[in-house]
Amino acid sequence: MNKYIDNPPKIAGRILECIIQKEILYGAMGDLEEQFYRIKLERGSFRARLIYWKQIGAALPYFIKNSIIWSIIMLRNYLKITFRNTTRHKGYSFINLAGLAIGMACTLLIMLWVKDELSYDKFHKNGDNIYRIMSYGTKYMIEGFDGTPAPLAPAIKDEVPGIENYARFSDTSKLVFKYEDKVFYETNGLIADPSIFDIFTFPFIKGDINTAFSEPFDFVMTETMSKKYFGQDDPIGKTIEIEGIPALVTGVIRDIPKNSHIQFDFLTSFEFINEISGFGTSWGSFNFITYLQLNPDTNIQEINQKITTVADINNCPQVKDGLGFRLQPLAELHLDSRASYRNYANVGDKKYVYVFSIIAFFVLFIACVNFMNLSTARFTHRAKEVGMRKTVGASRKQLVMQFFGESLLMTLMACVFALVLVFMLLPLFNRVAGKELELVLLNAQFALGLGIIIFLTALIAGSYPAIYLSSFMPVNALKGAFKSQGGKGQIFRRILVVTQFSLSIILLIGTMIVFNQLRFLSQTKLGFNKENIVYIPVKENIGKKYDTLKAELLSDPNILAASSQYYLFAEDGPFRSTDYNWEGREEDQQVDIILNLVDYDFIPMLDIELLEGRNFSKDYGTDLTQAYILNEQAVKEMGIQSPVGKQFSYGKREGTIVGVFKDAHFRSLHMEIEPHVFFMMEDVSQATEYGVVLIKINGEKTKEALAKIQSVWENLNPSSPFEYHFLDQKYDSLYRKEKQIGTILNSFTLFAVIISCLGLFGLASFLTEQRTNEVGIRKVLGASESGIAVLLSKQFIKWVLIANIFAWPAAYFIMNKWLQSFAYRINIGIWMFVLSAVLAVGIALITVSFQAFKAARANPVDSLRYE
Amino acid sequence: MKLLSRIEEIILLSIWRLENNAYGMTIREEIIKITGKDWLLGAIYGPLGRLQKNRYVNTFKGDPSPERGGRSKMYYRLTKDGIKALKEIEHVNSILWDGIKELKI
Repeated sequence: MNKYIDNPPKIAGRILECIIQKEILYGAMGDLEEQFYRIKLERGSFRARLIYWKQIGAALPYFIKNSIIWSIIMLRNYLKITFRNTTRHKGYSFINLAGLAIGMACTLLIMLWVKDELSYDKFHKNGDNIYRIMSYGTKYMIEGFDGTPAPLAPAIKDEVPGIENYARFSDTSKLVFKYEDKVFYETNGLIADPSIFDIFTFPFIKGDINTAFSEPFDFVMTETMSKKYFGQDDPIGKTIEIEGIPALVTGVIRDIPKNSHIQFDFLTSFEFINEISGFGTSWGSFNFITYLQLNPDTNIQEINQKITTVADINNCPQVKDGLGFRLQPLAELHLDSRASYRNYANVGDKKYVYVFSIIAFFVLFIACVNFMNLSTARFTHRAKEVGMRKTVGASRKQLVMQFFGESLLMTLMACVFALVLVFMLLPLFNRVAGKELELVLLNAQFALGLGIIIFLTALIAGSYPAIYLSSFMPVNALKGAFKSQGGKGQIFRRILVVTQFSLSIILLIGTMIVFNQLRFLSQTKLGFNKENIVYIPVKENIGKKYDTLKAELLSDPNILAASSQYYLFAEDGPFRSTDYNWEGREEDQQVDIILNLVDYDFIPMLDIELLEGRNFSKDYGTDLTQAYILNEQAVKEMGIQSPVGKQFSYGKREGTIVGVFKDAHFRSLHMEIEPHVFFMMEDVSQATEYGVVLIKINGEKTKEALAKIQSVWENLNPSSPFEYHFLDQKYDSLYRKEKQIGTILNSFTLFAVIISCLGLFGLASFLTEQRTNEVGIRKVLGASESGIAVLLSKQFIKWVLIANIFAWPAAYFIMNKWLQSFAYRINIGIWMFVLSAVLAVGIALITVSFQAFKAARANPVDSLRYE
Repeated sequence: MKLLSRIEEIILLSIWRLENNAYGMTIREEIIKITGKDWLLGAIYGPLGRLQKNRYVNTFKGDPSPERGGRSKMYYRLTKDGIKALKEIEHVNSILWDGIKELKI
């Protein structure tokens, strides 16, 4: 017979051990086991087990009833004591509560933020099987970009097994929509294969998915957009004029959730956009973003290789140059900061998710440290209680539970305040972080998170006090032998304060470095003048009648210059090519050069410095078709000596280099300067959808200048609404994410420092109070007030100074990593560390000295009266 | 001194009768014999614990035995207080039943 059946049930034995009185446990267990074997012999093992269980079962109700009654009695007592302690020491209780509440509020805010970041693209039913094709491998695209050639997806669908479906996207340019009297620019459009609705979950409210794209001019819009044009009317079957072409509304979809990386207001077919502006659909133009829906359990590595092979077989020129394709799962898209989907400015960053989570933990931990410090510092107040409880029979376990219970109660109260705080701060936080977070208390996920935070806080905050306070020997505690404080408790408290300030100083240094880097970004000389420059899109007549436009603009004294560009150079995703040839080029030499088309006034208007040669000039008739101007970097990478006058060609456009301009940061300072080439745009109307007219205005007469631009615009383009942007704002927006991060970091640092100071204040006031007699005696013996204040403050300052030792290397390590993400960055100077240290010490000093001076000024008669 | 309850009285008497062989199992069997009713083993521990707390009984360990999972038997015996309490209840009982007419339904 097997052993398990042979013996009395173990679990039942365990239960019995828990519930039975200790005095009779031993005998009872023995008796039960003896009975078990006896019954087994007589009536079999099953019977024996049954009877064994029955015994336990019979004992349970009594035990449960008894323990419930007693726990209620004890709970009432605990609550009463907690309440008395809390109200007796209002100051400390306030510090504890405020610290915990602020700490928890920070954590909750960050939790909401992190939750939102992680929630992106999770709502698609097929989400686990959706992948985006990334291209990577050539010189400036090592990290990968999302452009793919149009024929790629249909080709691989046929040849690579495991691909269930594909959808190709491209974003539209700015389009004018007209319905009756309503005319708007719509910028947020998507051109896509209708299969997008099979792959992704974008539910239709009106219209039919299957027939929505049966005609080329059919299109689908979101609920919000439908309201904008049609109000409450049913839009299905109505016709909107897009850029003058009538298009039929065939469907309305629910608004795209905020946490989708694909955002669009309307969706049209490729045929339709072809009517408005052409598309490169060859294997060489990477104009489309391709999403695949794979069969589950497909080997991604294999598919990656096969896609590249298929592209190679079809003579995709970039693949010949070493470009490859790989799949990226949908779930990873949002937090991949390298994603470069043009319409998608809201890219997240895994790094910041980590950083913020850590900061949240820091702030909460600092608050917990306050709690630990203050509750153990006040141990003398509780020592007698602990001694008394132990004397009348409380076990250590009970005491530990009591103190944990107290910390849990405090945490719960703090949580209520924290929620109120979060509720008040959320709108501000949303504005700073560019989010639309909501505080939904009844959300299961949120409740779970909140529960974990509460439990964790109570555990961390309560652990040390519980273990420490419950360890007192009743004899010592009741004798009051703890007056001469010291020993382990004090050392631990020092460690806690040092940790607390280390964390605060790390945050301080971090804030300072972020602030300086941001200032550096906004002050770095970009190599051209971006101030007072307005740009307007090249639209219809703006391009066609560019000369008229320019002449009219320049007739106004407030408009200083005007120029046009093929696409705005600040735009993400510049035009690149390697199709260049030049005098002295090595056989296999290839340089990836960003190209842009400009006009005569572009270089002087932006104050771009020419190092060699000259600007494009009307004096040379051939400039329009043959001249090139390069930047230093391009010259360097091509390896041309004295470039001016040398032959240079882009594709079939043969010509010469007429000038070299000084390297300028046309793109974000995250990136190194890349080779650039400028040549002339023969006809402005050939500019891309990102083409612009740049207008330099008189900075003091902005209003007048803008009014003039508007009137000119309206003359030429009565059908499209006027729009303009400032170039410097465009550049500022390149660092929007960094600024958000900076502001968030700032505020959390502030909170952390406040909480640390609260704790230090409490601790200082307590320790000073403890030394009242000492101070009295010192004063009687002739110590000066300032001498005593220094004496009392000294130890705290020492701790804060020690904290610096730990904080500096940590801060250096972390911030150095952050700075690596910028190609152009500040050096971390020692002064930032020193300044942070001075700040921390200063704040600590102010906090502590308040208490120290109060104690020092006290009259010794009062303090010594009771001895 | 508080008067014994009936179950306490029964347990004390069984221990007394069993002399040196009074432990959980035998006490239960004795009670079943006396009362003619089935008793759960668990049911005697409550009163036994109480009696022990009031110092009416004390315990001594026997030799460890394999059928008890290597545990010793926990033998019970009466203390002086226990005997006194029994005597008292005997006295009360005799007065209680003295001169009672035969019970008939």
